[in-house]
Amino acid sequence: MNIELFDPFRPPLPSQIEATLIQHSPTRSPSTNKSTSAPLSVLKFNRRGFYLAAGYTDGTVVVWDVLSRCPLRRFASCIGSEEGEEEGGVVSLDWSRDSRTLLAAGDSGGVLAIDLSVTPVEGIQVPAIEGLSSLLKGADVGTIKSAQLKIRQATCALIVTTEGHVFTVDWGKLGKELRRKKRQRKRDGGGRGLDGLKSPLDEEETLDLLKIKVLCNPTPAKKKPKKKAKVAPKADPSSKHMTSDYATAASFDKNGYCVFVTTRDTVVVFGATTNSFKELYRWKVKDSGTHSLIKGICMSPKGSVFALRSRGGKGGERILMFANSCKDGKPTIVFKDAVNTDTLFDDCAFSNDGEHLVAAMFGRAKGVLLLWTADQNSLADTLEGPNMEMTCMAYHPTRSCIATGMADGGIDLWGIPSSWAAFAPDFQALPSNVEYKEREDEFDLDIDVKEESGDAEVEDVEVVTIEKPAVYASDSEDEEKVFSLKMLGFGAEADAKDRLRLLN
Amino acid sequence: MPTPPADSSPPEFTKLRYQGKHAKAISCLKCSPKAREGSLALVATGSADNTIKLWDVTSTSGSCSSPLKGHASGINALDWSSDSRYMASASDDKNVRIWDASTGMPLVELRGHTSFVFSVAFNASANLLVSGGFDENVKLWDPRTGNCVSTIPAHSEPITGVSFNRDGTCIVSSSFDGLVRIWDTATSSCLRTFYAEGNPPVSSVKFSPNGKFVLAGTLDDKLRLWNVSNLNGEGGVVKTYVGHQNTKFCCSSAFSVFNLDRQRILAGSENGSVYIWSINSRNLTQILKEAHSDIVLAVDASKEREFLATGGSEKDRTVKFWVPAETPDN
Repeated sequence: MNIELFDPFRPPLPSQIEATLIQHSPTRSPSTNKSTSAPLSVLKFNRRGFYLAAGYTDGTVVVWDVLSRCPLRRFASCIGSEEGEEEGGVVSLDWSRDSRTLLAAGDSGGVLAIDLSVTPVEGIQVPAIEGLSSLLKGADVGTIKSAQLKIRQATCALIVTTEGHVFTVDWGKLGKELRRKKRQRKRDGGGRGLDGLKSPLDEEETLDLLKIKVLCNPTPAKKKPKKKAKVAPKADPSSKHMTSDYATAASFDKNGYCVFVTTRDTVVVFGATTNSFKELYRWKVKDSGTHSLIKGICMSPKGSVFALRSRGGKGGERILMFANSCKDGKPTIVFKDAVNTDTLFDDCAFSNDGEHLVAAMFGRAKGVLLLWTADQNSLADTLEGPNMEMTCMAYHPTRSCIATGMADGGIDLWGIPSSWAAFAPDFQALPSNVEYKEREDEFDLDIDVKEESGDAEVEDVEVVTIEKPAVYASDSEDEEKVFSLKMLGFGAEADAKDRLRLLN
Repeated sequence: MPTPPADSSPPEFTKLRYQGKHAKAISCLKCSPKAREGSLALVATGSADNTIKLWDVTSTSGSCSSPLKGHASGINALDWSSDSRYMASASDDKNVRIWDASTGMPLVELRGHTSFVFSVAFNASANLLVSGGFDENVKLWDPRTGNCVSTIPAHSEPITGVSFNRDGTCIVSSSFDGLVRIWDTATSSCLRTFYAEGNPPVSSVKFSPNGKFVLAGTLDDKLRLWNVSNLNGEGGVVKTYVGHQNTKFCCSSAFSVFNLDRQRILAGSENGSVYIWSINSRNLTQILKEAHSDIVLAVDASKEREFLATGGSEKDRTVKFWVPAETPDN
């Protein structure tokens, strides 16, 4: 691992773009002869930071290799377009802890669980929205706003809908049943592949196999939004037709023991057990504004604090940081743009070590990133992106690196300038001039041949055993078994393998 | 000085009767990570005769593939992908080629180095390839497309060795400028620089199987093991292995660690012998005396079993295979 080799005292913040990931127009669909791809809509690094999953507004999901900066897997328009509906973009992506499962959710309401550990990869479509709707007897539940996998359980997701519902959906049984049907079909022969056939389960059977638990079911607003299809996914519904129990965001805590659900001015904490969720406590955000509106939640990697994006009463938005155990609603630190008071933050994230907080502002000609020191409320840096609208942002889990998605389909990776001290072995960066004192024998011509003292090298070395880096100490899998995506091959062979096979 | 092995002690490795020959010097060889079932090892050899040969070695005999032709000059280095399906070769014709090992067909040619390419390595998932050459650059490639991902102006003299660590997050490079450098793969930034006392040119380098150490051969007749997590500079040498001759050529070295009770380092020597040390005691456990009739540039050990392969230079041209000697009590 390289993590142990990083200088713990290096300037820890990304400051320059070191690479841009661009999707070349796929060779397989010559009809769309465009040099650029659709705009990015969401980015997500896996736990080790080797892969970057990117969702595009045309429903495409690409898994990028961060090391080689090349796409490893590409699933074109995999979300939302299967029934000839209008194509949906990807709104949410999440990796399971072992990186074998990638969860993608689209603004058309589709949820796709992608199993990357098999070749070609297998996908399960989870009719989460349909399931919730039938559970709530046909209530309008909108589409998906965000979806997050449960920690250490890759068949369960926490979903927030655009109508303010929060629920979890478990498709473990559905996956088992689909795999059983697949094996059965294989046994029964019939040389046809899976792909040409209809789904092995009809809609009702599928819904029966889903386990859905509703955490938050808001009372429908009196004034409904005009039409669900027309609600732009990014635009927050105006707070006017938002009832007080309308959930705006939800997230598991670091260990998956709790779920934090936010409504417009309240944080509700649920305890998560294996089978149920129980409301533990709730508190109102004590912010200066009278019409505060919480827009998002973001957990620190260390799990001790979290941040809320909130709109206070007086114009601009702020980011409120709370201790994880907060119950009184008083933020420990309030971050805001000191220059422009009407700033709208579109996303925020903690740095890999949790010591900095990044807020992104997308809605302008140039994307801007504000970086704060998380424990002092001091602005550390302001990064201005290239002349292009920024659409999403993600912080690398182990390095000082920010990925920003652009409207032209490119992904910029921001990094730190290289440390020149590592090049010259004896070089030391000094803060100020010092008087150099030469050693007594420093320029002696006859070099005393140092006695080859064998003593220095008697300590045993261990060249085989693989040590788990301390940061991954809580991972259950052996270091040797850490999942990695294999190269698919060359040319047409790779193209044939790089596809998504739906189980249903 | 290490104590040479007593003549009376039984040899650890004996030569297999089966051996092979190239038309010119054997410059490099590599055991595949996974051999065919029933055979001991699949060994690829690269030669100054511009070809690569694959040797399928069983305990009683062996067979040789038809030579893989395509390079216009001699081969300097080889590496296998971890699934043993692909091979990469670096050549004096300034190119790197990727081959399908099962068919022997060339798949991709990586062009970009401006001088001889001297070293090449795949990362564990074969998504990335690194090469180093006499143009003093380390280049990273996407093997599927043949595109150069990045170029690192790594050293001020020809580069003699490059290798990935276990998980591909670091690259190590060695050069005639006397330095061993460790690079962060993702950012191409330098993480460590090591050099040996007296700054001798470094002729080969590789990571230990767990990636915590680098083994580097220097042209002062020494092999050194550095602890990667130590700080820069001269310090950090945890083991020095001496006894062999290496002052002019890039003789390679290898870890033989399949048998955990018998962890060895082996290296070729300019006197035609192959030297085998115990990793921890630094004592020579065996010298494969006059294994070849010329300089031994190429040595490797299998990861699947105790199995060594060695190749001789111009006057010798043979590849020989070594297996554990049968102990008297079984």
